[in-house]
Amino acid sequence: MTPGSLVVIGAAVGLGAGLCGGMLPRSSRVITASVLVWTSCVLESIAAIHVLASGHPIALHSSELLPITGVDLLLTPLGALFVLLVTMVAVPATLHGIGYAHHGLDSRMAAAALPIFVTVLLLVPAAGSVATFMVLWELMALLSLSLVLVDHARREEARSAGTWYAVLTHAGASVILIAFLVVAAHADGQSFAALHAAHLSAGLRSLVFLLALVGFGSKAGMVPLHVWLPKAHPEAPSPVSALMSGAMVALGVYGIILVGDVVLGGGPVWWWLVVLAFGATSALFGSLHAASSADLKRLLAYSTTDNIGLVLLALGASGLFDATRHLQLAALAMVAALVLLLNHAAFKAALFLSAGSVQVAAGTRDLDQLGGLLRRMPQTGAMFFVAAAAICALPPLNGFVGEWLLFQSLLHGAGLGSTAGDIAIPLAVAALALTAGLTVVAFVKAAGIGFLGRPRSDGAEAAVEVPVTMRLAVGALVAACVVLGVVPTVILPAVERATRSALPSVTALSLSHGLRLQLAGLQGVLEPTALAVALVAAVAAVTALRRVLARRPVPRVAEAWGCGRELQTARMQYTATSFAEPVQRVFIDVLRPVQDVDVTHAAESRYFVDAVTYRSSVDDGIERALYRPVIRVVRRWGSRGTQTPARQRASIPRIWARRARTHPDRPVGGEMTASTHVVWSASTSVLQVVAVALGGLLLIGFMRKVRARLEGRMGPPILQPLLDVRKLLRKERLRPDQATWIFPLAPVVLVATVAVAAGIAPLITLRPALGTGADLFVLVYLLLTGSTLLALAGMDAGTAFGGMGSSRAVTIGALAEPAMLVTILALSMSARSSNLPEIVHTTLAAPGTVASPARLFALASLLVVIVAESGRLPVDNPSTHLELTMIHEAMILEYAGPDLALVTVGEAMRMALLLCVFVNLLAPWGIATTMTPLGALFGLASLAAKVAVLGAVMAVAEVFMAKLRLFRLPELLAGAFVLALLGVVSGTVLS
Amino acid sequence: MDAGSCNGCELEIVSAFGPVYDAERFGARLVASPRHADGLLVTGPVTRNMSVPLVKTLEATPHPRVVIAVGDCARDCGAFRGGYGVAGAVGDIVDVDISIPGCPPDPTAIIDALRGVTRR
Repeated sequence: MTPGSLVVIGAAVGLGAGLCGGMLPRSSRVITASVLVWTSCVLESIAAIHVLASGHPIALHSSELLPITGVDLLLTPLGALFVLLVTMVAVPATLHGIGYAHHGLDSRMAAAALPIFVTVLLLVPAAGSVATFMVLWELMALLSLSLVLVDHARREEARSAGTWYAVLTHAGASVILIAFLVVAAHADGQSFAALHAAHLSAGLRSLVFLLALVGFGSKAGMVPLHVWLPKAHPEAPSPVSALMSGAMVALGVYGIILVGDVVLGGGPVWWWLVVLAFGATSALFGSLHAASSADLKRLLAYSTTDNIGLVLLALGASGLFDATRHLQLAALAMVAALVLLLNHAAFKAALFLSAGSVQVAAGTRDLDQLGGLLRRMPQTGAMFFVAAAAICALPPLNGFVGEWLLFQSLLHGAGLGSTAGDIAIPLAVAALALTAGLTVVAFVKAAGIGFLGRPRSDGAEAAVEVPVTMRLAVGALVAACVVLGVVPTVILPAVERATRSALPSVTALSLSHGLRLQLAGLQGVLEPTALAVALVAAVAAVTALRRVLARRPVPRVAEAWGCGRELQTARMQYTATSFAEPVQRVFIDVLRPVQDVDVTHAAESRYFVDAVTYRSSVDDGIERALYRPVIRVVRRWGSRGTQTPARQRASIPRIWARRARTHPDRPVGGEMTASTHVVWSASTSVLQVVAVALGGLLLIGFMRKVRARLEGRMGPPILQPLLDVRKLLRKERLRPDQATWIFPLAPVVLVATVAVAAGIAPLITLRPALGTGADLFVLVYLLLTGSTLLALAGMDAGTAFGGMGSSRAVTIGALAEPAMLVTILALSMSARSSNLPEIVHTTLAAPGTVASPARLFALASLLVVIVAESGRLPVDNPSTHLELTMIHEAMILEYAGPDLALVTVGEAMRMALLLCVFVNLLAPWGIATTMTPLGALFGLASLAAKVAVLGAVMAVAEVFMAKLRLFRLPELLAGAFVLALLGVVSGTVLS
Repeated sequence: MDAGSCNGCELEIVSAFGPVYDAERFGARLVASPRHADGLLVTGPVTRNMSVPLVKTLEATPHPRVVIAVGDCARDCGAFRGGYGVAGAVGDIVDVDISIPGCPPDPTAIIDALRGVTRR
């Protein structure tokens, strides 16, 4: 069988599935249609894999199927990658649909539309001419519209969502059609190859590109054309949302690549700056709304806009580099865009399907009504957590690989000499970073509020695990997240081939070397598999240590600590709305929340309050400012024309209401061949971990001592933190009654991630064993993993203060992130690498770089970030014990004994590690460059001395400082961000 | 843990951890949660409203733990003995390991007791 016939048979089978869905009796239609759809997916995927493996496109033409033009299919490697992407989403989504069927997917119409929708999704990237493409594109829009409207009879919202979607998608399609017509008018034929050969003036080319960007952008959910997403995704049945968000939205991006790179063959710099700007806006706007949404599926929909924004960021960077003839970088950014899309398809589909499972089990998707689901739906819950970790880009999952690639392409593209690029790229890095931070807020909220703590409604209380088909579907996607994260090298050759078909001028590109990602011709190495192995090993080792060292390893189950209150209820927990409040308050000018407090007084006297009602809603600012006036004008015009009054008022945005009563490169170290060297360098890694652990505790003791002496006290002995840890290990473990496996896991992960980071960073010696992967970016995300887990653990017990601490901690983390990543960018620019040993090595080789303005600005910013990350004054006061002012300690109020010991050690290690990295960036002298015991000893001594000086300086500063108000912190962190930005700018200007 | 005291003992406890007496140099520290604690300093006679919270707080403290009754009221209800709202002395509600006499006790007495616990 030829690959071409596979495509045709696959399409026929898909249409047959639609027929079966429409004709068969209710009992068998969904299953039969699903099986046929899977067959279709498999056939199309085999053809796609054939194309990707051979590099030869499949071309088919049939003049009978469509009148006048006929059907042209051309499956290029780029399209083939999207076919695989659609398959990855479609098979699990339809499998999930079997269990979801009696929630609206087993009607004749839905059972017929869903298989055909999938088939069309598979065929759109194979379209070879304008006519075929537009027919398939419209079919895709209509079928998805009919699926959004499945619930139209029961829900007003579904009808409204359908209207919004229909209008925007058809407006988009017509704009796309105009774009194609303009090109086709100058071309000899209507196939994409003919379009590519057309000669257009520069002005027309730009017009075509902008029209295509708008048209495809409306499908991709690009701001400001995203307004249909948060309406249509929540209303569609979950398998359909997964397909729309994972696959259909990705095809919008495919369209932009198709027109921008394949048909027009690239363009001037300003096109791509426009794409970059739209990408950054979408990413920030989407993540901000995701962080403040309380409806789980609305949150996911906004997060789709945010992820597509990141993809557009990568795409814009790719075009920018292509326009400035940096082909290698252009290819790298394109690979990043495609990998980000694949990743997004995997985790977003998993999240939408789990949201569907939650809705089936608990009857609601309102986070303010959920809670405690991890205990009730252990498997769905665990899979949701993994997918949420993946979307937060925590290593070793797939989101991390995508963001690493994007960051590397931006890093190497910074300072290339084009003024526009020099300004745009640091801002793009900042957008990436803030988006990443806000995504963590959104998904810690979704996972923590939805799945941890106590159930907030009867529905959540009564939830039970969903049928096995639904779990299998989510499980397959979560497995994809893990595989794409741990061994991304399996998919990279295919992505590279797709990149070459999108950017024909790129000749050779090879990122994967065995299990390692290495940027060709650039300095940057990532070893995702080794990182994953190291993390798993570290978690296992720390768990074993806790078991061995603890005198009483089996925890006693105790009531969660509620300040001695007799009754603790679910109402006392933080809700999704309260969790998002700090973010909402920081970004109040963008979000403009509507808040309303109604006080009802008792009938007898105004001095007594009967009830307090608080409403808060965040509606889409762009919808309000951009669309509502247009709609109003059109309505008025229409009513004037017909002389009948407008029947409907504009629908009011969903309002959240609550009644409250009384409770308120170069592989560094690659030259090591002799086994003795391996053993030695492995032992330096271990030495570093131990040194950071012990040194961190001593550092805390030392800083306490310095502070005490300045306050005129004697203070505790410097060894006190060590003694405290020893004492805690001998104490009993306690587990709050509501807690899940997150609670004991979080301290272990905290210590394990810091330990891995300490093992790979150049602290004592320049080249520790695992040091090839010591990327600053990796280091930051390793630390982020630990703090994210701890934030989740804060909500696990279902107490009032835990949620408060978590909310504050992730908000500060999100605000510190831009400063952090732009600092990394500034530090990496002199070495042209974010690889830490490389940066330190550059400094050692050229001591003058330390005094460069770029380095000094960056280090000043880094110091502020370190203070924020390690919870010291003026961000957080580690010696306060007043719950309302706590940030960090509120999260760990529930930990006792050995678990608390781990948290203490983890925190101390984190601060020590950050300070060590800081001093080695500031003054690396003394670090062991040769592999001798004497050198290591000297390295250790000099590091200890440097860190001690820095710690003393910090302690002295703390004595004279008061804690900042929580809502003044954004100013401090914004200041750090500006410093880092100054570092980048002075780096490019002065170099 | 204030089980119903007049706040006299609290002032002395705060003073014991202040710059003058500096109990921290002997390895004792005030913590934010009973989960982090090794001992409970209980002050005042135990009032009826506070007797359940006292028991709950003790339950929330991981073993091994000590209960230190600070002040005369905590030892034997002091001036409030027989009061209608008083449930009893601390020893009537939970097991007491160490008692510190005084109304209020001197910071040095508190530090002496704490040193007995930290063995320094």
